[in-house]
Amino acid sequence: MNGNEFPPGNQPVVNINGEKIRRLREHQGLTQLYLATSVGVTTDTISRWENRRYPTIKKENALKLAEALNVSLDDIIDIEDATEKPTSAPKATPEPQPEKLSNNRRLPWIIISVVGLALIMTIFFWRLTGNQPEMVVSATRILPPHMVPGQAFPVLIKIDNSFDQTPSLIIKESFPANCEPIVGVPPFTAQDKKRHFLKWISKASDDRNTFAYLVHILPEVNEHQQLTFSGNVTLGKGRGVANIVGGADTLLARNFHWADTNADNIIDDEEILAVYDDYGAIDGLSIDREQIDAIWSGSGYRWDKEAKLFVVIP
Amino acid sequence: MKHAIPLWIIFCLLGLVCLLTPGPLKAEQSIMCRYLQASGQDIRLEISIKKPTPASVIFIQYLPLGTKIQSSTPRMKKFNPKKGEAKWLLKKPQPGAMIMTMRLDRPVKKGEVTGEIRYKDPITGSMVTMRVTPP
Repeated sequence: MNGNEFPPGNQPVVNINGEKIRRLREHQGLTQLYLATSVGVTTDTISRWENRRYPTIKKENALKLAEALNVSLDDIIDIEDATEKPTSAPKATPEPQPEKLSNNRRLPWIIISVVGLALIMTIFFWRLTGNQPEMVVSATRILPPHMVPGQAFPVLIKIDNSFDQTPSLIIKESFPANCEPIVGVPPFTAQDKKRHFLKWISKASDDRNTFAYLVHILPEVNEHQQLTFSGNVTLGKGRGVANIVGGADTLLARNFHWADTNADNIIDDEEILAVYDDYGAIDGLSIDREQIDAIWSGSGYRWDKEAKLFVVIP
Repeated sequence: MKHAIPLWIIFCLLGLVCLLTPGPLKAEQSIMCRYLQASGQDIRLEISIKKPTPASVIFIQYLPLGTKIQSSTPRMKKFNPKKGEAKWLLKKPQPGAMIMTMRLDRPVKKGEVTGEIRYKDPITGSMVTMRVTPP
């Protein structure tokens, strides 16, 4: 190995004299930026060299610096230790490497990351536990838009609760004075025909979320008369507040079948599917499914005022 | 080039956000239907039903005008000769596969018969209509 070669991995470095470099630069009216551009480093690096914060630099950089200052290498190196120093590890300034951000500039990003993570974890655990600020139960009434006076139609109340298990409930339903509930599924807990309301008290163990009843419109109801229903549902044992039963609340007395929702004297595919979708699973409600099937199978129906029945048109 | 925030932190946060974001509500099809035999005098098709099952299903068989169904299993509910439409109403269908057969009064060629399935999606409540064509 000749004296000009160094073992692989060794970088020659020299000790520089920062004061000399500064004096030479200022004497020539040169800026740190000029030197930095000439050597291929940053102005901060030039500043550190001049302030002796990095007394040893790569010989390659020292040569470029000397050339930029228009002096020889000896003029900028430290006389006390003028020999080249091969070193097995590159301990020179880190100028080829990009500068790291100071801690102050990283701090906002750290804060944003921590806050964001905390928010995500909070949402995650909130969804996992399903915590609700208060116990809430709501109910929706499914009511046909019309029915012929003197005939019966079904009313459904579907409970929508946010609990894993169905809680005990009290459902109170008020019906019009010219209507008579015939049967309830499940059976009514209480019924008051004078004050026109009915009640269900459902236990949690019943695990039921649909309450249905069949209502008969009195024959003396006039055509086009509006019949209004209302109700509320409360959690048992005083927990929670009473919520009004939402959904449909008005039925019109008209000469159309209750399943014929668009009043075109036909029960079409969508209407019959809706009948079975809403009422199909409720046993004991006594809706005339055979008649509905027959109207759907035929080409329609008409209301016979004299006979007071629906006539299927084949 | 190194970044101010390590990339792996950014990817972890994005991954968490993706995991926690609920995906779109999309109900899987409850019913699949295919013709096993769609020509000749005997028509056979298979209806496969998965849970959750719809409350009822309507199957419509479209036939060439003038063609009649002599018999079918299950029994046909409605037939409109003017439109060449035969309908079945399947109530409370059970999960699994069922075979529907019909015997026509004359043979038909492949492609002359097509079908349609209609039901209300048990999850979304929306009406689903599916065309069924022979392979």
